[in-house]
Amino acid sequence: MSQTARNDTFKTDRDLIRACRAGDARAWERLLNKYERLVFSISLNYGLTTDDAADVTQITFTILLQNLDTLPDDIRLSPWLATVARRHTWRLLAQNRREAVNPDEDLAGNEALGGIVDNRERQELAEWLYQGLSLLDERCRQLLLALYFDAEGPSYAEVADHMKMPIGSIGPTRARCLEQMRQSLHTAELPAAAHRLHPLA
Amino acid sequence: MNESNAPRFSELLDWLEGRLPPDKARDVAERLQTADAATQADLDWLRLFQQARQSVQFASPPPSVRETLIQRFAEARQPPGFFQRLLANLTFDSHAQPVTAGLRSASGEGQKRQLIYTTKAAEIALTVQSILPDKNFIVTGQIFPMGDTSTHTFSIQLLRDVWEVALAATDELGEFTFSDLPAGEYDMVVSAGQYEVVIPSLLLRP
Repeated sequence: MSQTARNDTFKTDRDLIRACRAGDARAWERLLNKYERLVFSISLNYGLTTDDAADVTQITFTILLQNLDTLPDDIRLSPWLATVARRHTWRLLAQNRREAVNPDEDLAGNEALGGIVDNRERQELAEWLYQGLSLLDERCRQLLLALYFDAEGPSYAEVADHMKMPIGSIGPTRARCLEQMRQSLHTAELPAAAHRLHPLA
Repeated sequence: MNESNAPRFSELLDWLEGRLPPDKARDVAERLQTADAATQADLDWLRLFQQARQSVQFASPPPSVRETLIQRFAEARQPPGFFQRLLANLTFDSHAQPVTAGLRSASGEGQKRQLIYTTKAAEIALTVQSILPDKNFIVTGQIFPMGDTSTHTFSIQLLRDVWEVALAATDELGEFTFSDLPAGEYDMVVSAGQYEVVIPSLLLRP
């Protein structure tokens, strides 16, 4: 069976949530695999320290755990987790700066927040990227994370070895995965920072 | 320029990442001059992706975070008590073939085969059907908790040579489906909080 088919039976958040409700520890670990980087990275991209971002990650998933039984079956976990993570990131930022931050305010208008605007743009980009990544099957997601987001910058040979793929298929597969991501994000709103980062022709 | 001459998505990506030899890179650049709007939009999207991924940090949290969360899950979702691993007994086979040494055969092109397994925790009904013309199989099932088993959602793991090949969860009716399974021998593990039921050697063959 292909890896894609392998994941087709467990590809939705609904499946993950149901299995977690049943007490399936594997499903919980899989859910963490899928989303822990998103949650952790949201806080990092807002400028929190690693320790604070780790705290936010722990808080966010604990809240998910507490709400497993009441979440709607059709919930999309990526935006739900992002919202919770963002809220607690703001809370910690406010604590750290000893300033009150109202998440509903336009942060760009708050001079006291200084560099947070850039962090917010970066965080929007992070969520946009991660939304796309979370819509891919596990193998595509792992491949793109390895090729484009691994701080070590592994070579194609290293990625091929790690993912047990022929090296010759890495390039074509990464193009197919990115094209899938592009199509999946077709209806998603572009992050505000996109227009500043790259003036679309 | 007609659409077919526009650079493909993969060419655009290789071109942007500087992975093309000079002559091919020039060719893509020339074809881009007159490319259609869809190709330009692809190029814009790829540029945005490349720029975004360079300005965004993606990192995994420290391992201690995961360890804590796994522990919290165990505390919250898995009540204390002994974990039970139960071996399912085949109690009904619609093909009514003699059962030998635990090896069950589920087969027959286009035919449905009903299998019922029981344990003290749950009854598991499986329907196995091959798909024509490629002869892959669909396995559907329903789980009926027994007695005081309170869990109404189960996860079902399908293993082949100890490797997980598929994982599913039951819906509100206790039903689940595995589709497009190649012929072969599988083990099925049905899990709920404090126990798991093992159906060994489920043989799917054309």
